[in-house]
Amino acid sequence: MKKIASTIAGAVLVVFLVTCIAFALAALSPTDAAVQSFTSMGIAPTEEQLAQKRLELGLDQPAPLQYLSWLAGLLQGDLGTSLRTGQPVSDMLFGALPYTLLLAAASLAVAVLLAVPTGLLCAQRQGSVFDRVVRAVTYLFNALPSFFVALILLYVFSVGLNMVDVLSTRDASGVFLPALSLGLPLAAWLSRQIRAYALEQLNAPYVDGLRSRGVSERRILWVHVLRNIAVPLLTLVGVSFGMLLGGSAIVESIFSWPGLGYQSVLAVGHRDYAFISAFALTMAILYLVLNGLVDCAYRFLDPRVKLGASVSGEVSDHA
Amino acid sequence: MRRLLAAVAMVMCIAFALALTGCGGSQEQQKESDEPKTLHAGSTTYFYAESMDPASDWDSWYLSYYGIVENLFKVGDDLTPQPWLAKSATQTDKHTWVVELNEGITFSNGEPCDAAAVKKAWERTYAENSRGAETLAYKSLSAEGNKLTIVTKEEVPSLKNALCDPLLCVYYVGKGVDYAKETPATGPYMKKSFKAEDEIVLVPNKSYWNGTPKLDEVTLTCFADDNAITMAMQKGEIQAVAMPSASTAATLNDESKYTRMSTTSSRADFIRMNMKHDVIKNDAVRTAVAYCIDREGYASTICQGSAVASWSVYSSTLPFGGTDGLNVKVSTCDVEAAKKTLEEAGITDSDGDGVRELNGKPVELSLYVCTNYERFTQLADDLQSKLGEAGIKLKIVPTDYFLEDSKTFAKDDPDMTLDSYAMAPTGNQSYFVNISFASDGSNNFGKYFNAKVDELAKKLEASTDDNERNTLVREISQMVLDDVPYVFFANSEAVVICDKSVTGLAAAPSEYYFVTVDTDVE
Repeated sequence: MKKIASTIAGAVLVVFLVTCIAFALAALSPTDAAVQSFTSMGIAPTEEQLAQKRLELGLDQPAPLQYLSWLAGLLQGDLGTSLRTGQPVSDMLFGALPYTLLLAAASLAVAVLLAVPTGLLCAQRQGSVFDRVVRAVTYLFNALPSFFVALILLYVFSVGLNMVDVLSTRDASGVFLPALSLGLPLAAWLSRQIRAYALEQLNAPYVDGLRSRGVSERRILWVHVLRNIAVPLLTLVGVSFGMLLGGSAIVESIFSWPGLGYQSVLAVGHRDYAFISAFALTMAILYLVLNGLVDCAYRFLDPRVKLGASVSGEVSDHA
Repeated sequence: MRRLLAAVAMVMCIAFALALTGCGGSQEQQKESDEPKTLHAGSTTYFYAESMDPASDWDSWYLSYYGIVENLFKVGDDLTPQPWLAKSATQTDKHTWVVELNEGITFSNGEPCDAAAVKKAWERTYAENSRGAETLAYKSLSAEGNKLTIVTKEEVPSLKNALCDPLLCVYYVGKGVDYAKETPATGPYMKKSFKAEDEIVLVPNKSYWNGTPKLDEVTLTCFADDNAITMAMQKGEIQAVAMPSASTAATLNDESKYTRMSTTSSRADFIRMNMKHDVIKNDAVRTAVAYCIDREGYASTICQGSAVASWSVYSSTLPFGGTDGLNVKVSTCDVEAAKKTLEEAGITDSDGDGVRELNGKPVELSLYVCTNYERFTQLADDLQSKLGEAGIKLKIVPTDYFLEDSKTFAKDDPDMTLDSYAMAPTGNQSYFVNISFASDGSNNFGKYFNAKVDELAKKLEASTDDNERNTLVREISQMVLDDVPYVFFANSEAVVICDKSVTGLAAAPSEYYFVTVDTDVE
């Protein structure tokens, strides 16, 4: 119980610091939301207009007071009002969050479904033509940024093959291309990691034992090796999901995907402190929850792992 | 295990197929003659309304693009005010104007639009939006039938121009209206569905007073990415792009497929000089900078034709703009002329390091460039090269913001900044003079001072005669060209690209209009 209380206290502190740093970085920017409100419309604001706008937006107060005011609202469940749109931040945030979660989950599914078989097969056929071809492809996708993959996919599937409408990626039903854009580079990275873990396992003494008992190579790979790399694989999946949650802004922009990433880019551009802080808060909470879930899953996958203990070195000889 | 693998493969195939099905097939290209007439247009900059409330922030501008709201006057293609909902506006004394509305105007909800309705709309707008009082500071409004009497606090010679600002649009104010969701107005189209900063679908206003809207439905979609909007156009998913980027315009240049409509707007791209700095105070240095800007190359290569080179102060679209009647000293990009100017001023490279010296110090300038505009970063690179050739070292400072308030400008304290302003969005002659050329102008961050300019600015503010106002602006323009506190090097083009079937979309120099009653798809 003491440990849980200490974990929760640590999490609250982390969340507080994240919002504090996000707000401070936004407030330290040379311009503010009042200036951006005019310049985004190509209008040269007068000093009077700026003063009036700052008064309206509450930016006439010192930054620490603005933050404390936002924090006080947060404690009452109010995430504030967007300085860019004038809408409640909670409406914007929770309207976009499901899209971001869906995109992250779909991308992760694409990555895992591609990376696990290729990683394992590459390990089993180390040095073969298949291994070398996959290595070349994974290096290529590792080197290509997601936005470039997104543009290529959009062009091929939309303009080239006429299979998908450009406008179809604007809602949940059009998750395929955005997910592929994020999933392919991730799959390339994951498959290399899985190959390395699997190779380590294939060289372990227990595999020789299995072979001597006549267990088929296929069973060794897909049952025993896969089970033994489950824990580090889960760590990779957890890290990848976190990366996808916060790193999909450009792909979201290309596909006009109505997720949090694109909204956060707009918020940064417009110095929307309220949204930026709320976004940082949400991401921090999601990361913490995700880490907690991964920790719990370790125990489920390998009962020898205890919460708070390191997982490395505890997963061998499990056959 | 084999079964497991087969199951995984099947799940992947099903997911793939479902995703493709969900994405939908390509749009039918051929339309039956009895199908509704629809237009789908996109933009990365034009359709970003946050609500349907004309009084909220800048949303009146967007509602004007959409063809939902109209004003008493509109900005014509020559950037002069033209009657719209109003028949006429007459000044009866220094502070009083009588505006007479056209007969038979109704809102989209069928309610009549008379002077009292205009008064109600403005009173609500002024209560909701602080820009109202800055756009037109009135003392009182009185309505009688179709006559609206406006009494202003100060004399406002440019009242008709002010009436063109979309913030002073006319909309229905009454019980039961949820302005953020839908506001009845007088435009040819009205909202069918709306998703903020994403998409709006419009249907004809059956009560429209000035003709019959020709389309059954108009969809306007926001795009966040230039490549996506280009591909959507290439694929025929959208039929028009409003204000395309240079790269989109360059890709959609097949004249057999697309029509390009463009007019030069009052927006100018320019360099602002910080006249407080010692090196910048030197006339020859500023003139050398003006000589080193490749305006033609900027317009044709960097902007891909979405801008025109400027050698004057104001856009040639304006009746008081262009170079006619002005003595233009710098009329070509000429590095040799820049060198000569510097030599004649005694600014030479005495130590042979390639950088000239002024008062014993190397001539080094900083140029702050907001990277939001890619065209500016490209111009800055070119300018750096040409100034280097002329013997001036240019340090480019990239920022993600424009230096458009005095606090930021004072803090960064640049020698020069690159900027872009709409210099006369409603055609008003005194707007930019007052904010940027007058020594007490709120946007005169570089602290330009010329007593004669201040005197002419005051005269301009008091003059009600349009010809005299135009002449005064030309006189001021000549002084600005001589003093070089700014270098205006290009004017933006308001561009619309559409497929051959689309007619009647507005590429308006004011940037206030897009969908009109004449918009049609053949």
